Amino acid sequence: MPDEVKWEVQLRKGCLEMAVLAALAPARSYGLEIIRTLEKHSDLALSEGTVYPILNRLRDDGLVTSSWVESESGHPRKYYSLTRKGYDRAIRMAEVWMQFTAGVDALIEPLLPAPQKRARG
Amino acid sequence: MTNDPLELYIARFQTSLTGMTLAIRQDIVDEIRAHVYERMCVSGMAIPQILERLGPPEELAREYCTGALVTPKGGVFPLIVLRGVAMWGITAAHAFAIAFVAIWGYGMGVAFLIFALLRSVAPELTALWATADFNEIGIGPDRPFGARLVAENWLQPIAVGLGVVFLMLGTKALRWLIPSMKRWVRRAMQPIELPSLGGAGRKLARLSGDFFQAQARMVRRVRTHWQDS
Repeated sequence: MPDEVKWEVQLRKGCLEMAVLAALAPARSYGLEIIRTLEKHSDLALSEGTVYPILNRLRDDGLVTSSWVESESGHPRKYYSLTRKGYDRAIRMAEVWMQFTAGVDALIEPLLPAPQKRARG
Repeated sequence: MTNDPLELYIARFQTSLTGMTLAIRQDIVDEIRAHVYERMCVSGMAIPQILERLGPPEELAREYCTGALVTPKGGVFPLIVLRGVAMWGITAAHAFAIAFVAIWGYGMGVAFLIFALLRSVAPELTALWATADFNEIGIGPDRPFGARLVAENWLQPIAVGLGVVFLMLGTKALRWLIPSMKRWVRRAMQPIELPSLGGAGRKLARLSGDFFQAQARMVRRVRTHWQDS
């Protein structure tokens, strides 16, 4: 895998935890629904299997809770919801993310071609 | 042997899930299976296509086992090994603490409750006595001359209270220790990436090559010299 592709994958994976917490902020959700929310609202194109280990780890860290619920489709779904700790962590992550991107944006601005600069502006 | 792609995937996935209890492993497998069925219902995709989107089963299992989403930064070789050893040490300390709390804490709790129960059934066997100067204290019917019974009416509620307190504290400690240990196990199980020899290795290989070439040249010269003389 070329270095720049590897870097992009790591970058996407790095912020996936925050994205999953953000996807769970409005209401409880199950794996596939979270994946579809991420697909719809973000550019985090990752393999679907990446989300489940993250959910498992977030649960172990006490940031989310999970429970199996029977669905109308006939298959049980494992629903995840944010805990208080998870909600606080998501807010903190969002704040850090905003500060971080604002700082890096100013640094990379000169590297971008003019049309992209205008689009960002 | 089954040819069902989902079952083959699950079997490979299950085999690769290590370092967790059977119940946790089953829960994870159930969730992946539920994902496949759900995806099939929602998008009408074929099972092989869904499995492809999930990624190779071994890789998926590895992410569950290690939680290593981002490759850890490399470091100095002895420090990396020391870090690994320290993590396993902390994990072992957790395991020891869990065993200690489970055996001692729960043991004391159950012992106090049994004592309280026996107090109702056989009060003379569970009587607490003490001598006048509190030099000797004991439990049981055989007490020294002059020893008097202590807290006769309060012994049972105190034993119940202590039993409940020990059980509650034990549970609280275990509820903190077990997740903490799981986190340390996950950290300890992250693959240790040892730094490659890189430039040093290449240099060493070049030096040893130069040495053997020089040795061969010297042997050739000596042989030629002997032949000439």
